[in-house]
Amino acid sequence: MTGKFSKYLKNKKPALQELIRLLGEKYAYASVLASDVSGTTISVDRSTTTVNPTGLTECGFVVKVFDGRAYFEYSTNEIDGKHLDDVIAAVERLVTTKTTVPSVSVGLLQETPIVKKFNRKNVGRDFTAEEIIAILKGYVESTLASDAMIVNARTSIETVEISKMFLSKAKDLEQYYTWSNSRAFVLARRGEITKYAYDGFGDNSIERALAALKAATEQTAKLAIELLDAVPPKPGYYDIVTDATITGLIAHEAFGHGVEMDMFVKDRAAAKDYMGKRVASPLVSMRDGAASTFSVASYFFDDDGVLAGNTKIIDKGILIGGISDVLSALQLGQVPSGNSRRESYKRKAYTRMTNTFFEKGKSRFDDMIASVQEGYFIAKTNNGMEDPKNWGIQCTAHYGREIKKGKFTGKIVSPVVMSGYVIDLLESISAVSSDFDVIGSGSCGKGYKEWVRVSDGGPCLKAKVKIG
Amino acid sequence: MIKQIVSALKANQMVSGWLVSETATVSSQVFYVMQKKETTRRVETREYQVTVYHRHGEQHEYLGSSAFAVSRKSTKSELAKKVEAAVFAASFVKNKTFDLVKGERKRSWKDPADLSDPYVLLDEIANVFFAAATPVSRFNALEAFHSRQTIRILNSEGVDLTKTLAKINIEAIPSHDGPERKVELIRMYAYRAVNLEQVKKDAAAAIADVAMRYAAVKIENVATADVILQGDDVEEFLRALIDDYSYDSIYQQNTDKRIGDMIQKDIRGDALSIGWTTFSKADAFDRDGVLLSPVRVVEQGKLMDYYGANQYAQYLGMKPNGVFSTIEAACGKTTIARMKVKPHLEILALSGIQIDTYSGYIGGEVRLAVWFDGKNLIPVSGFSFSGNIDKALSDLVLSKEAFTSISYRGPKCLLLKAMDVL
Repeated sequence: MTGKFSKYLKNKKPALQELIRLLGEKYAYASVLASDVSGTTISVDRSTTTVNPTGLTECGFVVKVFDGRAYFEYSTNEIDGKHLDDVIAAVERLVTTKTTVPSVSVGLLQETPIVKKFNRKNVGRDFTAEEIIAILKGYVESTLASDAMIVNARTSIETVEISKMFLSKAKDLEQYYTWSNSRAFVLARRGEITKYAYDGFGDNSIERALAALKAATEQTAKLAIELLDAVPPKPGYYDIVTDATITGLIAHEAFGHGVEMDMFVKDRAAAKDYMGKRVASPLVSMRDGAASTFSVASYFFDDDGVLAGNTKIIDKGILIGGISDVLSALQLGQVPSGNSRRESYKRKAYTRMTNTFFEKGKSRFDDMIASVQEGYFIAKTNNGMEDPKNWGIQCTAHYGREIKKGKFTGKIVSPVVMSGYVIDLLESISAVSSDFDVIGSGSCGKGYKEWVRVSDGGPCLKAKVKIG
Repeated sequence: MIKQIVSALKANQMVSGWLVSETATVSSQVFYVMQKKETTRRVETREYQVTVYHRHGEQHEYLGSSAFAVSRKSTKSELAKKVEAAVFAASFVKNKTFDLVKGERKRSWKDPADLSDPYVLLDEIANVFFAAATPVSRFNALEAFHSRQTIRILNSEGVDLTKTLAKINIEAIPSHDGPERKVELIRMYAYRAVNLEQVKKDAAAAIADVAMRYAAVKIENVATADVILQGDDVEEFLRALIDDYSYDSIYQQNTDKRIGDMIQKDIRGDALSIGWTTFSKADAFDRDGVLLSPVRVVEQGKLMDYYGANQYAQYLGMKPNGVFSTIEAACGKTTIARMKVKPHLEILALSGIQIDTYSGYIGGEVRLAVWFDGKNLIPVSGFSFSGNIDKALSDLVLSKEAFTSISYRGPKCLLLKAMDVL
């Protein structure tokens, strides 16, 4: 970790400012997003170790212009101050592309002048590759030695440092921040039965992420062994109590995608017609924003140079707001919420969630369990898929623990696939716990592509869902 | 740039071997909203990934490796520092030794170049999609990507291979606005070359499907049904069935199955034959420089071979066959028409097929299906199906008709018997 904003981008800044000046002579709007993201993923299992660049690695530029009719973007990883004419010519070719399809009607982006630099360093000390490999290996070896049924264990840590710069006529923004994700995976076998368990979490400290991984790996190993006795649940409607990861999955997949306001522009979200209306139990309040809590998506400004936001989406069951990128906000006449995000500089910016969660309530977890006659405590996000227009749900938990007459029976089920109608689920929420956790180790796609890092979570929820 | 990278690698005496991959991408992208153009993009990049190998240990018994990315022009000293850091990291990586792929001569492959202006092509495609719209059904969003990628792999053992691959990807959101509600579907298409007649068929099918979703009702009084999957869901299902038979998966003991074991028990339906192939002649080698030729992983329900990366093949004492992206499966003998004679649920859109081979689970939330009750065809939506993979494999029926995409060649449909419906 360098602890500093990218020297490479700093050196490029005068050329980029000159490029904006030159483009500004011809176009009503011109901006450049410059990204330099680097990092390493070190992974150790019983027999191999890998040291690879993180999948987030990127270094490049997005040049954006508005010609009075539409927006155009040129992405490249090479802008040379001596050859700005090449970039300008590439932009010119793009703007003059032949098309027979008319453009949407969109206006000029209005930006408030701002000059600001942000820096958030890794907390605690840095670690060498030698130290990280030794620590990860230690966790793997102790896990393998802990039980003969454990076939393999893998521990990993991804460390990332992110430098981004946004420049336009009005804006001069720089940000540097770091993040580390730890992950554990354990495979267990008994006879012909093989099962796995996993865990993952993030922190702004390599030191803490590595330290917490020890207990996480031990818990993951115990769960993998327990899951050898798991069976799929019998399909049906059940009362459930969720852990924070499943609460986050519901917030994110079931509802969050539907309030991404680029979906409003495309008439792809039912939520557009529900503003100010009840969409959930009065116990439910929900937020999203890079500044709403501290986790993996806590940047200082988004990929269109808008400062991080904190948006209240649901207030006591009433839908009150959505999140937006600049272009969608422009088309909807809204103030952008700081949710423009790109998979990389090579991709378009869309409205994307950041840190998404339900706010905590007043119930005690033990009381919530005690109130379930027949159902499951379901835990550990596996995957989910949104359906913002028709509010279908598909959320999969890795496992569930059976509850009967208010007590855990000791039976474990896996996987637990929830489906149904979003509003039915949210309205069925009958208790919200007073504890709270947001987990920042996941990635989210929009549809089936455009992956960005997100966190989600909240308290434990009691609800009724269809499982099967 | 590649010369400077190779030069930096050769200059470091601690480097026992190296692999450099250069990827040059030119991508033209157009984004349409409500059938109008919203944003036009162009991507032009050249990036590198470098893997450094370092042999170490008292008997040189370890081959450590460490990789880094070069995403921009770098100076000689920057590259030297990166190589040095990679060697340092690799010196703590105690992996069993193996040989890098050996190359004999420089070779290259290219998908045929399409001489049209990519934006003109994307414009034509968009027009074909939009022409399929009706007064109540249209494409509320359409994203069109034309990309051409040149990948060059070089290593210290003489590999120097280049391939240029082209493809067009479309994400279409057919939408239907009726008096009672609005519905949509998500449709993804990948084309190697443009065939506007095929695009026309895809667009028409998407509009027909979304109109059907509007007409769909809740499924009632059906507890179990034979389920027919098609297209991408068939691919996902077959891909999941052989996922655990890669060299690394076998080496890591992710499965207890070995060559010669049956992956289908008590076969009463069709026996599966699944393998890997390349999606075009130009898709000729993998990330290690292994030259690819089709591999049969499962033959008549029996595990015949493993597949995958060079390193793990050598750990198992096998000749590597490489990392592929296109799955190939043998078709069955039953026509789709024959499959549909008895009551069944034909799935047209899932939110995503859920397959967990460890627990034997298969299922998913159904966004659109057609229920045939023996007399009537009824569009249905808003339910889920699930079942056990092992049981389903015993009675599996594969269609005689084939389906081909960039990532799949095989039966167009498959039938899973007696799935639970909820």
